[in-house]
Amino acid sequence: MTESPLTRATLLLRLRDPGDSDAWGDFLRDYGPMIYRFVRSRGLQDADAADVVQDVLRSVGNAIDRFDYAKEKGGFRAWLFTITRNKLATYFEKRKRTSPTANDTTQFELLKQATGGKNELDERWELEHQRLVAAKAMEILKPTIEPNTWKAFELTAIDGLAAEEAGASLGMSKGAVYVARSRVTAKLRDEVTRILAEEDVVGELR
Amino acid sequence: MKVVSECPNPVELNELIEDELSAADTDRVTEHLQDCTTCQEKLQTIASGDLPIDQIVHGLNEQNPGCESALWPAIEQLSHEISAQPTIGLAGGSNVTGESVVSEEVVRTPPPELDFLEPSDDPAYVGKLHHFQIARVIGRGGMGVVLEAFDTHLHRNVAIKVLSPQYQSNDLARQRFCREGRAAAAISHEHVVPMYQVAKANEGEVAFLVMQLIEGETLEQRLRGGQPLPPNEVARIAMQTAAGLSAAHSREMAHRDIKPANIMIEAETQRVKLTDFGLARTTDDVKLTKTGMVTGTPLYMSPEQSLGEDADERSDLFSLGAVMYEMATGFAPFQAPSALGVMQRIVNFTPEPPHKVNPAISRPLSDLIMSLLEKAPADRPESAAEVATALAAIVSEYGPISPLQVPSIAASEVKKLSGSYRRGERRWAIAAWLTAAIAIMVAVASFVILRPDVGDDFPSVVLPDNPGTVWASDFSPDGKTLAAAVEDGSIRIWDVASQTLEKSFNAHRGLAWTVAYHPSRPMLMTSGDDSTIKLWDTDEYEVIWEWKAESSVRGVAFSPDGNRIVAGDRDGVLYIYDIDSGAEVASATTPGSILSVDYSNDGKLIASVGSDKVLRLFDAETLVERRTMNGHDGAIYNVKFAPQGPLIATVGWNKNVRVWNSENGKEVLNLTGSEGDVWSVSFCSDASHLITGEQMGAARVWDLASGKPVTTLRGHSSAVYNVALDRTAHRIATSSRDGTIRVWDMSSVAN
Repeated sequence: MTESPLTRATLLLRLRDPGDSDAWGDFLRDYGPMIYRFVRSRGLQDADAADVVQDVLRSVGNAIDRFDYAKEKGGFRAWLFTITRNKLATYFEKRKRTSPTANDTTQFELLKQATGGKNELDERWELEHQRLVAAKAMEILKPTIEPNTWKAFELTAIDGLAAEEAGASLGMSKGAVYVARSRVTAKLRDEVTRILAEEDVVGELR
Repeated sequence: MKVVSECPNPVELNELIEDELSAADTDRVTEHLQDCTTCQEKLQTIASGDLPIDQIVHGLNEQNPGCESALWPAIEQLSHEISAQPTIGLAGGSNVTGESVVSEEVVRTPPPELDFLEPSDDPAYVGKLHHFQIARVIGRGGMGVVLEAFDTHLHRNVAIKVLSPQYQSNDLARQRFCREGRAAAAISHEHVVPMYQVAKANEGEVAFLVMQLIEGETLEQRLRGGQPLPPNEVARIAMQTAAGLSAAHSREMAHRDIKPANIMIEAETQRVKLTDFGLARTTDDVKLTKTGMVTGTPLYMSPEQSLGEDADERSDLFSLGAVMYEMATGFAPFQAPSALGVMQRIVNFTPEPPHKVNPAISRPLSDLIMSLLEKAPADRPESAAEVATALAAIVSEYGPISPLQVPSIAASEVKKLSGSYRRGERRWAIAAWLTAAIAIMVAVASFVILRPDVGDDFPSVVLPDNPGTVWASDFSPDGKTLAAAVEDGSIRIWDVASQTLEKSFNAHRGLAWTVAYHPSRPMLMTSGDDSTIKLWDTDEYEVIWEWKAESSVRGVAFSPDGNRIVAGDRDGVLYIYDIDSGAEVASATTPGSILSVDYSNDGKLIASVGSDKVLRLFDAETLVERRTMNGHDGAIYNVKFAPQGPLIATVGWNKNVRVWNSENGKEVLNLTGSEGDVWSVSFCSDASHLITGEQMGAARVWDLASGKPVTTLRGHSSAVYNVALDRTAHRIATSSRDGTIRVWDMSSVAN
């Protein structure tokens, strides 16, 4: 199984040990792409996004042993969000200095807003976190589902193909594609809900 | 006639999701979901519950960092920094230093016979080869093993053929293997298994071919019971095999190993796909036969192959005859206890005609098989295309023929038949069929398919797998390369002869709309959704000039002398730029969005069309409007001046194809017969024909003298957005929403 043997609760606690390569490996593999997607959604190109993600994760590495799960409001995820926002702000500031023509005012204003509200930035962060969880859930589910059913879901829900197109390439009727998609969706919903609940338990632990 | 059943209630839908319905109810509701959009949506809403699953997963793959992303090296570097250890495995290394953690060993080791595979990190697969996850072995042949695999880059299942390890070190075998890849990759035909790539792994030690995975069985499997197939199936399978062969033969390539194991039958469509051009070679390459090595499977070998002589296309026809004989009778015609015995019979023995063995086989089919089994190549039918045509006539005797079953045969091949029948006295049979076949083809064309283009040319070249819709393409002035503008903002440069991608680079943020080669200098112009027009040098592909318009630029053209360009944007602004100084020479605003612009052949006028349905002509120096022409009943998508004379063509919404006289502003022709919206138009070099690209995926060639379509080019599965002409060699490139570019050889239609 590709599912990590480390539960998310112990993972975060174990990050305090910089020598724990398993924990860090899992953490970077999961959160790297998540922060990357979030940063790209702010309009950064690949190379710039990679730099910002590296900065964020480096800060986490430097500060995690001082991070107090008991005191920090909102837990680890909120802390990570704060670091990411700060690094993005630094990036846009620097870009403003070096190329004054770039029009980043909107992004900049958005970053300066207090967190906790329901602005586009918060929603996007929340979405990317859900995606992280969904990716985990899909890793777990995929081996348990009949390949064609999975493929029908993947082609329509993830890749955005029309049911007819997906059906044609899989040799399934349109109706069967809809059924396959809904079945995997329901299983995925359950699995995502389960993982999120598990994370909340981590929240209780703090 | 569809009867719409009553909508299932939410409880039923939920039970369907949970797989709690009975089989009959499942089928009924599934059937209902086929067409009821309300229930389709309801089903998905129930399945998602309170989580926005659709929004979460949509586009997940494409928004994730790609394997070439800078993120991975950045993370790699970081993991080194953070860890006190010098090495760290990102996906969970083996040097566990934490407290008692149960780290499951997840890596699976491939079986010994596949020891060239790397271990896969995914337990669903037996191993990994390059970026392909290997699922299982699907076949073994003389030359190697065939694997089912998943392409992790393109996310599709493929078949991979790997040369046997004992041959990998053998130069002759390796040469032959690589030739297989090259030969097959050059053929694109509905009855030939598409070859995707020839690749090497493990530092070049393992050569392998990647091809389309066909879900289905081989003819060998179907014949395993030793029973003859139904006569109509014999004729249909043979017809499609012959059509696939004709595609190879038209490229002067013999298959050399036609046998039931190499004839695939797709499960879903029952369509025949010819595979394993294992021994195919271009006929002008004789190195292999010089060695005296006999190649081929004895049972279906031709007499000349058995004797170790050179085998050409006629040899394939003999093998096809032997395969047809087996389909018709249930046994191979030259069976013997030993390979040598088989070869001896092939040379000396004439089997009993199939209609005498199996009375269900009609006389014409039996005669055709026997003519294919003639010992002397010259006595066999002339070409695979001719055989396919004759078989089409036979197939149609068994019932109405579906358009899907009629294979494409090169028109040039079919034309060649007429004069070449009477060489031998035995030609009588085929001569008679030819007449019948043509009659049938005409009947099929006019009554069954209702479109006048059966037997049109198939494309000579397909340039596949562009990452999204190809909005435009253009031939370089020497006709050697083709530049394509792709939906993801990249420009791709293809070498047309070798069908290889020479270069791909990001040109625009968002869509790349247009691409055009400079008429004489080594330059390329592109424009895109990012409102820019860029001029590139074609040596280094560096930007020479970049111009910024007000909005998305979909229309650009070079002046005939190549000193200027004209561009039009979505806000309706026209710009003229000087390419030497980079200066804006003039600009003007038109009503509506501009979708296309062009320079007249004398360079004095500029035409612009777009959303306001009007064709406008401007003075090319001042951009003062000279003339407006009305007639289109919807947006005009494309405009082109004829390369000589005063004609100008426009195409657009709702099947409009119109030709105008730019001198008097009169409409000259209104061409009817297109299918759906028309996206692109081009004149041939002497302005006698017009080529258009249509919404339904066809490209059409029109004769301007008669005002009628003369040829329809089918092959794209989705809209053709652009047609480009190679003025050096009668070739047309069509680029499509389906992500492919097809290059059609029109020399048979020209003149």
